[in-house]
Amino acid sequence: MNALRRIHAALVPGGLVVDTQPVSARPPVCRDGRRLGTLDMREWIGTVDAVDALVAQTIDEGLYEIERELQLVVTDTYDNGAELVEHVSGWKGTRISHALAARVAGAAPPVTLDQAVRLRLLRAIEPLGR
Amino acid sequence: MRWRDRDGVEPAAIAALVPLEGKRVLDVGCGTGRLTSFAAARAASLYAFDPDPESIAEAQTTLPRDLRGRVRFAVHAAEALDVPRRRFDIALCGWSL
Repeated sequence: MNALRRIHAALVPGGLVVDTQPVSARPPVCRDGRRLGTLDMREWIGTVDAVDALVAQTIDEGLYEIERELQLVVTDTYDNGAELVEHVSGWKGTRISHALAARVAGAAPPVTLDQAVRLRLLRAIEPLGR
Repeated sequence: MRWRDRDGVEPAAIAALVPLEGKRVLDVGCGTGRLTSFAAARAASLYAFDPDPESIAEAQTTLPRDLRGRVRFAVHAAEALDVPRRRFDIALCGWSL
């Protein structure tokens, strides 16, 4: 079952879903403001698209309406480049090239990862006929 | 060591748009508690859940002691959410839908 239907049932009428998702296909890894390269998150964007399809479905069903949408940049900071490489290597739908991994692992810390994040507010509404 | 969103950009944006004070909040897919402390410090109550028991254990450990009375943790997926109808005001889905 679509999780958003479960959440809708749990919310009071007019309640809000606050949905945040990273939406960059190529988030940059930087050292001291200089770009070392970008992660490849194109596969992850496919997951975001699938979530968007589920959201659209619940909007079509009259469960939610989109109230607000905006984008932020969220920065993660690592005091060890190798840790960044290890961490992002475990992320779903995310790849880091060997060349970038080597550059990041050898960079003097701190290193940062800047991700564009979409923040979306969905208002729970009562479907007509209920 | 990793500092996720050290400047608190994401919680600040949420707080500016959605006052959590006094609200009953779902923390959907709370993971290791990325937004849990932020929400628990403002909400009247919080139900935080995630399918990964290790993440829940970490979220419980990192939650400040003075906020623990407001938070109930559970291990399950969002699709298995089984709570009374119309019980919550806000659902936080931080990187989790």
